[in-house]
Amino acid sequence: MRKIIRMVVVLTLITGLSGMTLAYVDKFTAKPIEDTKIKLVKAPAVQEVFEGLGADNDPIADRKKVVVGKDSHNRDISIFAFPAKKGGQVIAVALETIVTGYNPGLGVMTAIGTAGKDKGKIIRIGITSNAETPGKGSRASEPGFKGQFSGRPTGEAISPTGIDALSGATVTSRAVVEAINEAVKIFKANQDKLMS
Amino acid sequence: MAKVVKEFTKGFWEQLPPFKLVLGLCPTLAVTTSAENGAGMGVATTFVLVCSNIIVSLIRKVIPNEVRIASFIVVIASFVVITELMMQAYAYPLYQSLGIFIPLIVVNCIILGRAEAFASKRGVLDSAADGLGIGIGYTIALTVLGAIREIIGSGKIFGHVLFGGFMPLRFLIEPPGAFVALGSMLAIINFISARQKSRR
Repeated sequence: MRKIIRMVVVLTLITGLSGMTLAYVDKFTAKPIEDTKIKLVKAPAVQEVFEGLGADNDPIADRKKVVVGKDSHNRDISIFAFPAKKGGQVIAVALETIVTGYNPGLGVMTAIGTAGKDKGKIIRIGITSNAETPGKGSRASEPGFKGQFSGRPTGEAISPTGIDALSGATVTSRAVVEAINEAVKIFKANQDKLMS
Repeated sequence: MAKVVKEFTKGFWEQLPPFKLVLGLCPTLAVTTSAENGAGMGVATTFVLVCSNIIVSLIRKVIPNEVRIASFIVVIASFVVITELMMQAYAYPLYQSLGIFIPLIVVNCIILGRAEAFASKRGVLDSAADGLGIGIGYTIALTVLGAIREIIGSGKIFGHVLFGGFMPLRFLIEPPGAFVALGSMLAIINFISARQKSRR
């Protein structure tokens, strides 16, 4: 009996200590990990969707956090919005939304115009992460598919039947549309904050 | 002191992990597509090996014999998660190219092997020296194997182009090439060892 108690106590202590250490390390590395991912994963996509706009600011440095909902622990879920500015005025905003296509983790960066001829239109979209079926859904990253969203008005949601879907990848095509509509919705709900 | 030095240096040749002990072959085959990947994997493994050896050696007297393997695995897994988080924060491209093989360090037989065969029976200093020596030996072995595959397979070394107008043998970078490269290395090492022995 004493032996069993000793085993339970020792193992509990070891796992408890290890859990505490890991929680601390996780807290300590959360910020650097976020910064690294923004620099190496998001920055190229933001640059791509803002190409040719002539923005004179650094959208990454000027990023803003917007709250998009609550998780099961009632904590805020937030995403980053990247504004493009010209002469101090916000000319476009890019938001990344992540949806589930055929596999989870389909990230779409949507750039929405807020001034000039692009006002109220989608400027361009970019795919930030794509784990869809190779050769089918993976083709969402190709210009032929994502190019068709450029210039669409954001006035009403895009209908999944109103686009040229990727053949053999209906689910992925619908997921991309869903991601864009979600981005537009978040943009509209936070417009005041993002335009300042 | 001489004993500690001996524990440290045995990992370089006498017990060189992938070639002499022939342990930890899964990452050896999988990640040595380039010298940089090999070195990165080696450093990550060394860190886990040294830390887990020290902790296992420190707590060896309180661990009941029946739950020792479970305890070792918890210690090792904790250090692997720490390594994973650190790599995500400070070496993201390397983290991405090593992928699944970082979490898989947990089940690398070298680490559990050293904990069970060495650190659970010896003092802290010996165990740290053992872990560091074996880890450095493993790193060198992976880097050399990675370099050979990278030079022949893509004509580069650490990402720098070595020679122009060279048609690389891509086969060596691909998975079957790993077996060929590892097999050839093993043959060479065994040949040298056999000659050493016969001379003695």
